[in-house]
Amino acid sequence: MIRTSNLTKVFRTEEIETSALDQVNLHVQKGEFVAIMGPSGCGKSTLLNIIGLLDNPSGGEYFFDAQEVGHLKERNRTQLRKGNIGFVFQSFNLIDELNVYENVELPLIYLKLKASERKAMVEKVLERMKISHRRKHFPQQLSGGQQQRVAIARAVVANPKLILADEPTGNLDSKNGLEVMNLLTELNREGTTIVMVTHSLHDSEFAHRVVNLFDGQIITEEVKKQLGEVLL
Amino acid sequence: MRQFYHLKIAFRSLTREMKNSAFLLISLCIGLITFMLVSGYVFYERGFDRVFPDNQKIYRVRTDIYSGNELSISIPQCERGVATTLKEKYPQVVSAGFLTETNNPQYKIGDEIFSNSHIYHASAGFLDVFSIAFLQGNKQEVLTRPYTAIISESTAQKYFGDTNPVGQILFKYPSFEYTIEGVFRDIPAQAHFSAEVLLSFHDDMHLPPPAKAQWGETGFYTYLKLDGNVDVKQIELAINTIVSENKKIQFEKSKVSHLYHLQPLNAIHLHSEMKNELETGSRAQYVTLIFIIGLLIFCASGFNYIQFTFSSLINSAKKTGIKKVCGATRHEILGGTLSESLIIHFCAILISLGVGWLLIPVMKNQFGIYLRPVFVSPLFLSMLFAIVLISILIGGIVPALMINRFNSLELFKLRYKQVANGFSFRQVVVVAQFAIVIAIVAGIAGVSKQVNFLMDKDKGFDVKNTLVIKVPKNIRKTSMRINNLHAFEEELLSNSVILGFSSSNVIPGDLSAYNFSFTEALSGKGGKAALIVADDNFIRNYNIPLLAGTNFRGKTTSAHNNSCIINRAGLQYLGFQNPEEAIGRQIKMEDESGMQKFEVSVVGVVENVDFSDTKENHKPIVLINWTENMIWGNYSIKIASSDFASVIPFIKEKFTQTFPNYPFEYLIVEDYYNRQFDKEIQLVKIFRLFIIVAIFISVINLFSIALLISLARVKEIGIRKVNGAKVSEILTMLNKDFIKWIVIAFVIATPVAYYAMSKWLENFAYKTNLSWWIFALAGMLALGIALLTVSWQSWKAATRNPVEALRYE
Repeated sequence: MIRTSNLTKVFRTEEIETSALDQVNLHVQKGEFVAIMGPSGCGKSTLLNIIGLLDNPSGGEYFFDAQEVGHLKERNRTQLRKGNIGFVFQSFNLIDELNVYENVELPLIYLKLKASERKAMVEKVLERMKISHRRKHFPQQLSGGQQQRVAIARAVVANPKLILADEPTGNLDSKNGLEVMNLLTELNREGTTIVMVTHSLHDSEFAHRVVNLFDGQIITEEVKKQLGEVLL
Repeated sequence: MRQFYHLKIAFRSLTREMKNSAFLLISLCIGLITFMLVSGYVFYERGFDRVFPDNQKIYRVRTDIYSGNELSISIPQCERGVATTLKEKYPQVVSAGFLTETNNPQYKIGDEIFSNSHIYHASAGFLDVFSIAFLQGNKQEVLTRPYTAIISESTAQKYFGDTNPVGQILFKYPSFEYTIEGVFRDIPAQAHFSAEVLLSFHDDMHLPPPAKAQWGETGFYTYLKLDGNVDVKQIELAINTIVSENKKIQFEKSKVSHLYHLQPLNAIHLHSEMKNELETGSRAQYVTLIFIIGLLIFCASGFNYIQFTFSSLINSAKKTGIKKVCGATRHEILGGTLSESLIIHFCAILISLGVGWLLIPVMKNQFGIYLRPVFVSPLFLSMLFAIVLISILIGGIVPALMINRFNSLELFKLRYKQVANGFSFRQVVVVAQFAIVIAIVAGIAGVSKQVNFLMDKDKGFDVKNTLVIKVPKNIRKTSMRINNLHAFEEELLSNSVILGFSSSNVIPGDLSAYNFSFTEALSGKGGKAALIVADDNFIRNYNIPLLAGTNFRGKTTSAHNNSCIINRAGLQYLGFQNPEEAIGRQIKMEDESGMQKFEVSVVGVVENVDFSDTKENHKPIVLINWTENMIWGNYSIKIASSDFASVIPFIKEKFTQTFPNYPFEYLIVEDYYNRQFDKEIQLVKIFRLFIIVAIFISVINLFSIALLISLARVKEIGIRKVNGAKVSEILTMLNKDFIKWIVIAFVIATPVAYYAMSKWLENFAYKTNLSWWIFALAGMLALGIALLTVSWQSWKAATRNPVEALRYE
């Protein structure tokens, strides 16, 4: 599903050139759950952003579903992203003036679905995330765990093929963190491909495979489970 | 449906970002209201007389009167014969007519006695020129017969209610009955004259012969409607030729000559400031000035609007980033920003229209500007619509364009960049706004100083504690209509509060007509002078300094009218070097028609007095004392204090006993005299409004900048404090920049304000000097306001716990 070849990303300021990714070759199969680990500043988030079509690489190639997308324009990336990729962030990134229902509904709005369809889909996912009773609440009225559940609900509501999670438990306590990981595992089990950036060894245990990044390069990859193996 | 979604979300984000939305809304409202009022004002002033059909073809005859080669006066009137002769001889003159003032403007309808200065004699041609519309009466016949009148719709309503006014009688004092023949539609407020009743002017009426003479007095406001293709110069030449043929002998004898010009009707209100104007017009210069300042304020609030739009863009950057991550396209982002812009404009329009509408009566009462017809005019509304549309697009499209330049990741990190270093758009705006504030404050201080200077200036006489009661004009003291005038005068003096009184035809503040030629009998030198009829108490009551000779001795009549008093300005015209030289000399007086001639000898010379216009230099005045048998319209009563209220009931009682058929009217001379500064006082009033608005705009902007800067520098302040900076040092650091901006604004504003005020002061013959303190005051005020505004934010930022500031990094 995802294949990068010699992917590089260079950030330039006036005086300094920083190489965030250096010749990264990553392959993620459909249905896989991959965790990307590494110290701060190793390029994890940069890689995730490129995979998520939020950013373009400086060099190399990126194939999404066998299509070269590394050099797409912003507009085309948006088109491709829509409905295909869902995001979960460390800081939840909910829109404060939208309530739970509306936050979850957001991607469907941009997919131009009818209101009735949207309603059905949102209701379903809210039920599943066990936050239906909070649908009228605004993000500030929710606990961190609840907010992240809303964020996950928003990421999956359009049934994307791929979910990208950037330290999804980073702002949560261990109980809520575990809940979030269980949700992601469940989604993966149903067929959604997941790529997750994490600092936490504990969280990485949920993945099929862990990719270790250091100074912009993949240094090791360890397979935890085989794809198709029942995850805990 | 989708639009509705955008609107709903937009509404929520506006209410969430309350402070910023409020700033945005306030800036918009101020901009719109300023636009409405200022452009309404400009429309109103510039629209004068354009209410009349064919206004571009209408002209008024102006007469420049020369004594020898020197222009002695310009007046908006000419001889009676001009209108009729032109109409007869020149086919290019489509219609021609005149208005002329009535003497003794006291009237009676039914039992109601009133005095009204908006009643004129008019020729039938006048109705044609201005296409006066009739509700009743035959337009072809009215005003053609002696002693007939037409009245305006509102006058008819006022005096007759539902009764038919046609055929009713308007009684004009002392003894004339005018039959009402018709009712005309009210003359619009935007006309340079207002006429409530028009009386016929006919040879068979009892009128002073010099006024009736075709080539007599220059007392007729004469209007011509010309053919579209006519050469105006040609008509001017025709008038000059016709009059000089008819008045040849008079001109030669009096060494006076007339030069006639045609004034376009549309230029009268703003560009004509002659003596004897029917109404006080406005000054084009002031209208332009107000327009420019209004425009500056409009721009200043426009800048604010852009600033706050920009701030809200920054504030909502993260939200937009999330939307983009969720798949929002450029169009959808645009939909969002446009919706916000639409909502805010909708609110702003509602508020502004509401406030504008509520201000209509205020503008009318305070400034005499009637905005209602302007506000409903299609041109004004389409301009307003265009501005709002442009503003909606700026507020809706520009942010979307800006934000679409960033990808979603950049949007997550977008913050307000520190503006302390370098020069940003915001700084330029703050400097510009404060420069405007400083310039207006300096302007208002300067204008007030000049007006006070003129009002307090030694006018050459004393108007304090004097009130004037209006008595019949040009009437014998023994008239049947007056009950024992002598007793009235005695009773006035018996009141201990009343120090004295004098009788005269003119009082300070009246416009004198400089329509008598006066010549020294031996040398033949002379010019045009104003003739004032006043008794021996006049000079005493008004404290007019006597330079040589004596005051009048007692009262005299025109039968033995041998004495006069002239002013200093008169000396020069008559060729005398000093006041003493003039005493005992004979002066020949002659009115314009040449019908009234007499000779007087100079008994006294008084100081120059500015009865009506301090903007001009002194003009000759000749005082004569024909007050033994006649009264002349005014009794000036000098009282011991300024407590007029205590003495008015007493005077009124005595007046009613003595003049049972006349309305009791009085005026306080000082106020009446100061009316000549109305335009300047109005300017100061408008300036004051402007200054409040300008300060307000700048304060909001500065406040928001201070807020943004203190937020942007939170980390810096934290680090400085951790490293030992004191609160006072942080405060100084934050406020220093603002002070620098104000200083720059001051440096820019001062020369501009100085130049503008020097130009303005050139209008006055007597002017105050532009003191340094005017500018210092403006600068200090701006600095004070700025420091007050930013210090609160700076204080909050400086006293914050640095741990708090650094924790989030």
